[in-house]
Amino acid sequence: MQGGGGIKLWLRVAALVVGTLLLAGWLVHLLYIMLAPFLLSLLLSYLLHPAVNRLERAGIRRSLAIFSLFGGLLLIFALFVVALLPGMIRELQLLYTDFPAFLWSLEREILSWQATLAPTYPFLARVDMVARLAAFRQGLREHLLQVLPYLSRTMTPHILFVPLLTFFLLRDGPTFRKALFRLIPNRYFELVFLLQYRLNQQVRNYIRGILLDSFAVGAITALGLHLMNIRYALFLGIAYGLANLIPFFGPVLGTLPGLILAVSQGGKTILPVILVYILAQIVSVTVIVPAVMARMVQLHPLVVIMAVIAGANLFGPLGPLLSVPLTALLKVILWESYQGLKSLKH
Amino acid sequence: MMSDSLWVNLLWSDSKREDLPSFLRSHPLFAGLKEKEISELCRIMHERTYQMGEIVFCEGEMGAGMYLIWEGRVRIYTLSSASEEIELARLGKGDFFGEIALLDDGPRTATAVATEPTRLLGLMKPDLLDFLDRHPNGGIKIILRLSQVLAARLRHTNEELRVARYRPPSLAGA
Repeated sequence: MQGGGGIKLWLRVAALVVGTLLLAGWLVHLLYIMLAPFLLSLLLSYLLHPAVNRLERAGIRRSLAIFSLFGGLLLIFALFVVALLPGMIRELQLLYTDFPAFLWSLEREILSWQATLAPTYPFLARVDMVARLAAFRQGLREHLLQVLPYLSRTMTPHILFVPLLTFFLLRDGPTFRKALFRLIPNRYFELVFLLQYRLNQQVRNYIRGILLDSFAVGAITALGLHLMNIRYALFLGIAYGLANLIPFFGPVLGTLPGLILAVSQGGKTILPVILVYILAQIVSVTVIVPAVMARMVQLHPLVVIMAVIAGANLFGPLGPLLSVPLTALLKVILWESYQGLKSLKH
Repeated sequence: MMSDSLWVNLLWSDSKREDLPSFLRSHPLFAGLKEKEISELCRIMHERTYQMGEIVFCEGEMGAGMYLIWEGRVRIYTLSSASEEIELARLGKGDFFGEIALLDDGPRTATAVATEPTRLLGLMKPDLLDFLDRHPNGGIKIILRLSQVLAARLRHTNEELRVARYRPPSLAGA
């Protein structure tokens, strides 16, 4: 009897989840072009929500509070750019002039390693490294030439829509939510309400945690590399911080630019660079993750790895970033729906 | 019945909207709130419509918040160990119930059922906490009124317990 009830309950949970996912998938298909700006706006509204509340508590009207916050953020961004711009331009100029020499020294290092290792590993001698490096150089040039048009094409809708969407999400979020709740039958109203509230909290904690973690890791890396007189410290720090957004693989992938650079500079700086990356990770793992991310739902490492790989295959470059929070949310949806439906008497 | 509620909840919206601020303004729970706070409450409260006999929530379920009766009547009951219904209250317009869910995360302590076509206003705990964060003065007034109601109910329960415990033996057997 109980087993039958359990199966029926699971069927209801599965129907609820599959129905929600199908609806979400259909909406994503319909609004694909708006998806990225919408997700970005959602992210910004999650981050700005507490600050808007604080301003409102001080007696400022909500619309005015949002405008003031946007203005303040724009000012901070401008100051940040002004403060960092000279350094960034200097590093860019340095990179521009150094890049051919850097590529050349990297190729020379690789060829010398091939020559050293070929007697021990004969298959290396059969690899036409010169041709491969020339093809890599050509591919890199083509990619770099495509970056600016790609960025301007993809960023234009973001620049137009993101502030507008964020404004309305912050101002009218409760009204939109309330309108959606009208669709829920009375019997499931509280269950769905609690479910969305807990999901909301999970997403908020995750976004805040991962952004704080990446910022801290990026800042520590940039500062550490700068103190050790490593070139392009700022860029390497930003790259490492961004890579850190990807769980598991990010921290490893993020070290590649620094390590390649260290190799091209003759290999003496490899150890200090590795030490800085390790220090940043120690701070992240021992301080930030336990303090901020502990509230996020725990997933088994194997599930995380599979989710990252599946995300990369399904959604491209954004996939690894989105797959882990989405998997965690799916787990919360299943668990909370099961618990909630179990508590319903009929 | 459920589908009726769904469509009624979906379609019934702005025609009665102008009633809501005046209803809230005149309710003792929200007395003394500023206009801005009243209109914010209108924004966050969920209007729900129930048919006669439709259950609002059941004892033992997870609770998300309290309900205010805007129109209609609601019966509150609990089940005895022999699964018999023990009626706790019959509530009408202006009464509220389920407020314990605003204060703790435990399950519902009783069942609420609409005894005629009823319109309720749901005030959910996360929304109240957000309201408290944004309008601390107004939020504290609501919490204080709720506490006063709970204190009055606790006094009443204590009184009933005292009477039940110290009933003279001659009456207890009667």
